[in-house]
Amino acid sequence: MAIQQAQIANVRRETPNGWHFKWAGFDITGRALAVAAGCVLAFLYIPIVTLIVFSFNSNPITRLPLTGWTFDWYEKAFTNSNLLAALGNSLLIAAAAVVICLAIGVPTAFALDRYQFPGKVFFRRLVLLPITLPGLITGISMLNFFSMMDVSLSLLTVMVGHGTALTAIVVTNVYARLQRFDRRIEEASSDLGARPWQTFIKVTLPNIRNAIIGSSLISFTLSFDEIPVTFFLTGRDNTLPMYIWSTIRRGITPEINAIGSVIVGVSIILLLVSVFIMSDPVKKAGTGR
Amino acid sequence: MANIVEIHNVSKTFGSVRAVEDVSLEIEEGEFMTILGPSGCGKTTTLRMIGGFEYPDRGRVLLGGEDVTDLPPYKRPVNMMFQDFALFPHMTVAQNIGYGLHIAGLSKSDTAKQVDEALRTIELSHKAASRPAELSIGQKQRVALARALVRRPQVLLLDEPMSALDAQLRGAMQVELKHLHEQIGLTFIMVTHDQTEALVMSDRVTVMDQGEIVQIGTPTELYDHPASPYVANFLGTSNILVATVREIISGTIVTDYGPNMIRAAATGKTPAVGARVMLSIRPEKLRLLAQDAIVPEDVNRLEGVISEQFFHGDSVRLSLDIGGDTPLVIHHQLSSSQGQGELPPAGQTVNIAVDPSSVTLFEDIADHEPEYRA
Repeated sequence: MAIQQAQIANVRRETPNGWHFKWAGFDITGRALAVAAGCVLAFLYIPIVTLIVFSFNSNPITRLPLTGWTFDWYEKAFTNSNLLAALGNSLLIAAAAVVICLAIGVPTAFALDRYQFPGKVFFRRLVLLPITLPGLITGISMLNFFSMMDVSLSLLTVMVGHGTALTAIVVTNVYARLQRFDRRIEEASSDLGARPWQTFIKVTLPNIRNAIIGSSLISFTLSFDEIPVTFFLTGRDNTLPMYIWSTIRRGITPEINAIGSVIVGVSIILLLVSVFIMSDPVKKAGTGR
Repeated sequence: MANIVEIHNVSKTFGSVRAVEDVSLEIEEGEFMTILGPSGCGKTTTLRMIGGFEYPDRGRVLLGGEDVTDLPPYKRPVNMMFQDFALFPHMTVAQNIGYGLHIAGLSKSDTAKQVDEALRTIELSHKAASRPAELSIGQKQRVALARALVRRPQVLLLDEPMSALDAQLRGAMQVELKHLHEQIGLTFIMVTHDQTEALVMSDRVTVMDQGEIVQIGTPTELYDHPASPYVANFLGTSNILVATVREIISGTIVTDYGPNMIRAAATGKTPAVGARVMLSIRPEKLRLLAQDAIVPEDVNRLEGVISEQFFHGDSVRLSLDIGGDTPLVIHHQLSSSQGQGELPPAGQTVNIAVDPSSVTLFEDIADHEPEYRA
């Protein structure tokens, strides 16, 4: 394997006129790629960096030049009870939405993968529909539904709303994983004496774990910053995006920058954790032979 | 000896495809039985019904005299080595091997002890903590074998165990598996499409075609006395000739094939004079004669023109036109005293001899096209 790769690398180096241009000793292709990559990264991350920088800026107005270094905005953000309540609500809703998505999505994915039933294709498309619908439509229709059923709006209705809108994400991810799943390892487990539930827990679940964790994280994130559906379905309670949105109408305050920076930080940590958890155990163990 | 596995009139249909049709099979304890056939002949389905992975539409499956037709795989005292091995990718080699023991509720220390022993036997102790993806194909196969054997099943099922191996490893593994079978005395049931594998390893071979059993017998029986042209062609190679019966003289059937006369020893039923029959002659049963050689009166002596020579290293295959529809292929073993250069060249007329007992005659020519596979 290693030898093969080395050979390929050699071939590449030996054909400078192929697609590796060199000029006066400089690898122009490599340089150009680096510059392009830099531009893309800048395009993606400069706004976020700006947000973080201004969260530490002492001037209460978000404007250059920077006036000085301060932690005040963080202190203010974390003593603002309205903001903290909204943050708590958002976390709660996102967590509940994930639970709903998994509870409905995982069994649905199994049903789609393993059982034949009339109208299966139709059902599969139908399950995926909510993800393509604008949140506005989902929000309005669920609002109609809840008022028709005489359900008063609360965080609970928001959770249900997010759950229905995001179930499709779990279904698609888990279903795609199941399609690639080698059913013979389940047969091997059964052959070695495992009852169906043991096979499910010890063999099936560990092999689709990544799809479940991955889709949970996506659902969590999407629920966390969701506005349209929340807007229609929340009662008196506020979520973080709704709170930020309502505050921002009076101008961007550094406090918002601060809470935004915290969320960015947490997101990066979550990302690292998920990369660690989801990294294929097979690959993680190395490629020695 | 007692039958450890009995299959009674089992049939299985997948949608509109008849995979297995009224198959009955008895396998003795300690036997190495191979089910042989081309892909789609129903051999794997038969094996999977013994393992419990397919439920037969009709018929019963008995293990150790007990009806297990309705039992799921996890309640059957058999273990299977899967094609491509089906190792658990998320577990280490040791965990893979120990899985069956762990499930059976064995203590951690007992499991570890048995796994260690198994790892030593397959000489993979140093890979205990590796994942299957880090193993070579041959190592994977040994792990799969150890995993299937660690539960001490009554029968080991092997689904195309060599198909993933390259030719060289395959030969070595055939010998290794045969030795293992002799050592532990366990009943092995193997499915393969490779006739060499079946001949080399098995005590008995069941040949299947289109969901039905065509013939059951020891490798020698099948090779020397194939029940049909299909078996003759599937096990080894055979010259299949369509000839006409001229007369029947005291246990010998005399037929005409082109200008040549070929006699076949009668076995059981005798065809009518003038009937079209199929003759099967193994290429290695045909002897090239020296020009002036004298053969006994009761041995077939045929004359033909060499049309082609195929060099196989230790042997030469000669294609010989003896005036019939199909050329005759002769397997000629080269020896230290005779190299390829001393053979008669293409275009030369030669004489060959074949014993009537080496000519197998089939009365029924309707269902099998004559076909020669080099």
